Amino acid sequence: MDQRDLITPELTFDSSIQLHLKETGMWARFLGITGLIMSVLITIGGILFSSNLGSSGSVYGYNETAKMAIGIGYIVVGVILFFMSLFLYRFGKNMKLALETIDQVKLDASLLSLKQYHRMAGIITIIYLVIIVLALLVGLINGLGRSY
Amino acid sequence: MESKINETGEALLSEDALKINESTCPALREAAASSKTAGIIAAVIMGIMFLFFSFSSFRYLGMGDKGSVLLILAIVLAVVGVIVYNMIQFGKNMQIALEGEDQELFEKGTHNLKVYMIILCVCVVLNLLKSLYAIFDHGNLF
Repeated sequence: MDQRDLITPELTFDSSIQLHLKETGMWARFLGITGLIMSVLITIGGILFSSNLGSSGSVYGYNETAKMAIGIGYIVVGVILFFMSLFLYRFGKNMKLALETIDQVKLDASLLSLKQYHRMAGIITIIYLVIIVLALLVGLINGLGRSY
Repeated sequence: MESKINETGEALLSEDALKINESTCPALREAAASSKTAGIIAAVIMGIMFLFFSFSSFRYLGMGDKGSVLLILAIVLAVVGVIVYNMIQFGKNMQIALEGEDQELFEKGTHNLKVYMIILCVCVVLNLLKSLYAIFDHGNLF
């Protein structure tokens, strides 16, 4: 009797898919490295902004609390960007190695990083949507409050 | 490891060639699902932002400014639209490919992922150029 594995599909990485993934991996590594550099710069910028080392806060006349809040915001953005870039870089690096050496383990690791990247992107997008909806609601309530 | 690549550089379809197995499949499936969800939510956010900015520009700006603001909005919308479209298509194609073992959709999915990465890279480079312009124009990034 012909038995078929229903859990794992019989999809293969043919030459065109390998070419797509090779190019994707190359761009992902570029994005990853750029993102890692940017995340470090953003985090340093946040630390400088929240401390008295930077001049930006005083130039724009922010008080201490505002400077601290903006600085923490930059640091949070920097940390999120760091992890997303790290996942992208790992995806690109492992994909390149997997395609070069036909290594299934590297391919698994690469796709795991892609999963982590997309999962994080999904969570951040949901949080962003919630913030936007809340901001719109608060703005609407404030606007209605002023008109009456 | 013995060589599994032929003269033209293509991987040989042997038992040892790369394939979707029990550890790859769930990872790819979850990546596709997350990408699709993120893409759909990003499209909703894009719609809200576009409505908000176009309303603001029509309400508060003069005729000349309206044109330039709407032009910038249209460019941003087009670029973000391509990214969001490819995110959703990647998720959709991969999910169907993994469920129905469709090689053609699997290829389309990887193509969508490639286009998504390329457009994202273009955006990052443009953003870097904008940051450099801000540094040289104002003296700092903030």
